[in-house]
Amino acid sequence: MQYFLFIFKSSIEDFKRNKARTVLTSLGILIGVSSVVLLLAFGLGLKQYIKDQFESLGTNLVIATPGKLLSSQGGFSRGGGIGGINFEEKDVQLLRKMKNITYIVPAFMKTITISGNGNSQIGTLYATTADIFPMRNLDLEIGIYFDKSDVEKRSKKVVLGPKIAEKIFFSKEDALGKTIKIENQGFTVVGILKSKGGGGFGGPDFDSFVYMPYKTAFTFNPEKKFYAISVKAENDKVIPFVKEEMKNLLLQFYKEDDFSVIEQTEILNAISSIFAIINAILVAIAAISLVVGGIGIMNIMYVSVIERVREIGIRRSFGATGKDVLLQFLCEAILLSFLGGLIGLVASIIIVAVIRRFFPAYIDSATVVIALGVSSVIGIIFGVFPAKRAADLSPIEAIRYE
Amino acid sequence: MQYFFFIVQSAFEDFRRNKLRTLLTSLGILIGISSVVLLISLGLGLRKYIDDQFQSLGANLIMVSPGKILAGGLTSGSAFMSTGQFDEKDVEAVKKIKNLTAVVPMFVTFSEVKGISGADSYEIIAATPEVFPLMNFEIDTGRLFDRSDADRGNKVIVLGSKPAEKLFGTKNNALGKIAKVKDQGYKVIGILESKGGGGFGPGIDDHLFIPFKSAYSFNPSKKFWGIYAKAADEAILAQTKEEIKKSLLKRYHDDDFSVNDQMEFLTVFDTIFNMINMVLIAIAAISLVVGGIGIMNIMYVSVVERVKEIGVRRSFGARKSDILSLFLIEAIILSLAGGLLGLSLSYLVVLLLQKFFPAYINLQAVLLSMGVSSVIGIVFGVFPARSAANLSPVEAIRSEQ
Repeated sequence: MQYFLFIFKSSIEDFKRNKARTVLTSLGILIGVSSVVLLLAFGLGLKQYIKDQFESLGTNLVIATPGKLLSSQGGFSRGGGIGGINFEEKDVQLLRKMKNITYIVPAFMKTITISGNGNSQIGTLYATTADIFPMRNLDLEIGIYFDKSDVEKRSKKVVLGPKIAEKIFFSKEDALGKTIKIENQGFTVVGILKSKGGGGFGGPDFDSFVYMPYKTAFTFNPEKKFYAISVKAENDKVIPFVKEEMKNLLLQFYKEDDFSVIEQTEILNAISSIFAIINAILVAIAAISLVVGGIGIMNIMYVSVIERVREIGIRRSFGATGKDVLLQFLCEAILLSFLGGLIGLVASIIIVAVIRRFFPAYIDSATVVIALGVSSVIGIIFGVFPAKRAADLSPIEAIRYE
Repeated sequence: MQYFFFIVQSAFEDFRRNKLRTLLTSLGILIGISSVVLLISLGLGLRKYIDDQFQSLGANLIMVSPGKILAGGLTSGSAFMSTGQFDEKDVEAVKKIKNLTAVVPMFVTFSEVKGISGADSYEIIAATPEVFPLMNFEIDTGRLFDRSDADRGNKVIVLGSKPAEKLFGTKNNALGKIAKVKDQGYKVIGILESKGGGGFGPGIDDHLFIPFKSAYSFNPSKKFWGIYAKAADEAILAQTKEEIKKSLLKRYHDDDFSVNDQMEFLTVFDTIFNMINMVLIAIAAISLVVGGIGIMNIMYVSVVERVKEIGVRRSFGARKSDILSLFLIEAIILSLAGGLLGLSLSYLVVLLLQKFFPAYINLQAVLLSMGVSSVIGIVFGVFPARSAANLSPVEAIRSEQ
């Protein structure tokens, strides 16, 4: 260990001799490592963000949709949602009888033009039962939900998501109690939801929907069809059973190919894997800068060797072996690289800490290991060539060098 | 100009003195520029690929579909959720519009198709026989289904080149055999000519076509999922779209359907695509910055090594600006050389890739890479050059090496 300390000290001495050069050389690795770490942190944050979004919209959900949404390879298949079939009330009644579920919610969606407060906006109608609110954790900001009796009575009531409420009425408070018109029919706004954020990342934008009791919505849905039926399982352990039961019940009316029963985590995984691939590509591109930084180290180390030929000769004459010289220069290269990586990592940690207010990016231990590991490896790979040249110098020629 | 040549010559002398160092220094910029140029060319290739796919379907193609597809941005998937579907009356209404060379209603379903040598999931288009000229499809072997097949609802199927190979081994093998679609047998009567498209995800060649009436078992409501129409001329495309819209508005509300042409989809795609491309290039550019730092580092070393030389030059009458130009030009040449080599390298790689993918390098990319390399040379070279120029001549000529 004393030996390592000795080599270590020699390197530091050399760095002190040429401060500017040391800084510039590490700078390349610093920049490279920071960009890789930041991208990795961003990827992790994205994964977390999507997961949070999904979880806030209800856990333990099993959804039946027409067509095959996910292909056998685990990604999204084309044509998901176009199956030719749509679910009907009888399917809902059938599935209501399932064990181990707390809610069953059919849904029908349609793009509509909403007029109110003197302006018109395009929005999405989400026709469903009153259970959508507890099932999807949709909290009220002001007002009340519509309830079961509203569904049966076909009351002309609606609950607005905060975004659409603000688009039409410019403020949530103003929207409450007002009437909106859809296709010349009037509906009273009885409640506005709290914002859920998100939407756009593979999930419906719950803040922009107009929620209506589905029986009321039959005027826009004359065939009384549903595009999906969602079910909340009592707990995560029964999810496989619920999926099986749902499938078997639906197979009574539909063919296997015509519908899918998926649990929410499957969708989450499919989306996550797509983003993971994208992230990997970005990191790979960032890694190119690390290679360039390594080349910079190699270049400078060659210069350093030439500058110190005499010094090498003297060390050799005092008993240093070729191996000692090699280790000395190699150690310098590794230190340069490692220090650059370390500072880059620290800089990234600071940046991530700042960004965390807006985005759940984070750096995990794997990232730290990768950052430090890769910087060391770069030092080794790009340092070994100049170090070998230093070690191979003939001691006699070296000491004679002017 | 003689002066300029003098400076360039001095620079080359210095390069010759230190070949390895010159090489390594330019290498950084070489790598950086090649990655940027490669990314740009891949991007251009992807765009061209998509463009070609659209073009081969026939320009002037108008799609009438239920729901609003492009209203809230592409993510409003409620287009598929809408129950507004078209029927025979709508088709008749659209057919009445002038200046349409073809009107083809279709129903699309997605299902597993089984052949003799394989099975896979495909998009199956159930349409009238006009779908083939509408989308510029030509027959390779066998025949397309015709009026009589359509009227009688014959269970015949025309395969795209890719499904034919996947399901039956070879195109010739497929002819006359039975393909099972959702457990119903369809006789293969024809295989379409390949439209190409490089195997980049499901494309035009991956579809199967059956007569509309034969699909009633999967489509009990006998409705259409969309109506495709071809305008006679690009010039009247907008006008024709308006007329179709007006005609459909008699029966439906504005939100229940969309009338789009190819260009609209292309524009949306372009926007998304450009954003992604920008991000990728920005990341690749980081390596250029690192390369520039490498240049700066080495130039500083060079200055220190040549202090005496600088002193001598000064004593022979060189001014500060001469010394500055000398070192600056060296840095720029290093950078430009790296850039040029990087560009050539990318060009070779692109040539190789062109077999699989229509990547190409355009003039913009060339100019960009040359420009950027020069700028890097200037930006990262100026600091060492200035420190060289600011050396006191007396001290310089006195320094020991």
